[in-house]
Amino acid sequence: MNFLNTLLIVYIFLDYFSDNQILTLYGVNACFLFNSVSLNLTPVQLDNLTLKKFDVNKHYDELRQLDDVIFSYKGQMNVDLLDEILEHMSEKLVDTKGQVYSLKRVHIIAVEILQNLFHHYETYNSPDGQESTDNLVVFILGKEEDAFFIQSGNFVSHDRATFLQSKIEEVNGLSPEELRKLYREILSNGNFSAHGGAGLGILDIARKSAQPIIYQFKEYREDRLFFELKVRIPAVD
Amino acid sequence: MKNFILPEKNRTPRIELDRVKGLINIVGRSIPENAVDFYKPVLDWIELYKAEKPQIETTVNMQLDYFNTATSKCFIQMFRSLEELHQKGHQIVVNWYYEEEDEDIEESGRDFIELLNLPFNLVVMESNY
Repeated sequence: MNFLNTLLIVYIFLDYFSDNQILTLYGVNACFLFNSVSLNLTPVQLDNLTLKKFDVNKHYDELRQLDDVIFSYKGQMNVDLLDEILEHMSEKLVDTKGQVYSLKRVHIIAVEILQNLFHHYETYNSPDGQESTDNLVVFILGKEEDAFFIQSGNFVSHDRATFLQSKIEEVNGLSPEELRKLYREILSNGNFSAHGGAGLGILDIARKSAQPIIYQFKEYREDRLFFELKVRIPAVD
Repeated sequence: MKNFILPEKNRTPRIELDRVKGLINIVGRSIPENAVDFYKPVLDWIELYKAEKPQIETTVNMQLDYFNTATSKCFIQMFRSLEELHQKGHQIVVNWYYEEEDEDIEESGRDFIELLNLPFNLVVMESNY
């Protein structure tokens, strides 16, 4: 085995775990099927391999500088902020002058995602109540040539991550007809918590976007992962 | 019992509940952050309407621009409540309006048709755009 080969393998290995992963992904427009960091990796392995710890501020700065970003937000989340974000996001979306039903679809998916960020935000507030980067949320809305995209990020526990992964995998594995059936079943059961729940939101997103939901987790610290969700919504002319 | 009227706001629809006319109108967009709180007075009004003197015929006009999933849960609760009245022999008609090209609102109407045992009309309107 020659030296260069070994170097190359090491490089690829390190690159896989580095923060460049998402950027690499966006660099290639067509590459939407990113390989998510599997939850099966133990934190120990990651600590040994990750050169840089995930930095939400840096990550956000990189994302918002991408072309095609219409609206972006990073910060805390509460009911007033949610209102403000929705307000600004709607205005920016209308400015794109897209086909009206297409914009409505993007808007309602954005609303579901933002309201989800809000509802799960409280649960994961930092225990000491101190302001830290551990509870920042990220939201990006953009438009590529033939589709809108929405990307959100927030910190979650391992338990929540496992739940989210299984929900999304389940939804991604369903045909449109199966999605419709499951959606109606859950709606019919009427077994909801006060704040949504029962996975109706994620089902609605999958139905309306008619695309797989893309997601990944980034290790942050013990029992704290950064969960990223990306939804593409084909633009109608 | 009093009529219930709520003007349309940025994220919530115009609501008119009229006992004398036996009329329930919900018009606009519905994306309240807390839909359960928002629709509670509506559900309460319907319960009272059922308990007091409901009309022989009740018409429900639903003309939504778009709505979140939290709202759809409240809608199903509202329809289920009206279903009870229907089972007692009262006439209930739901008109679900959608614009010709608005597949999402049309599809939502079909979701409710599938789940409900109520006369439920999909009413197509010309596109406003």
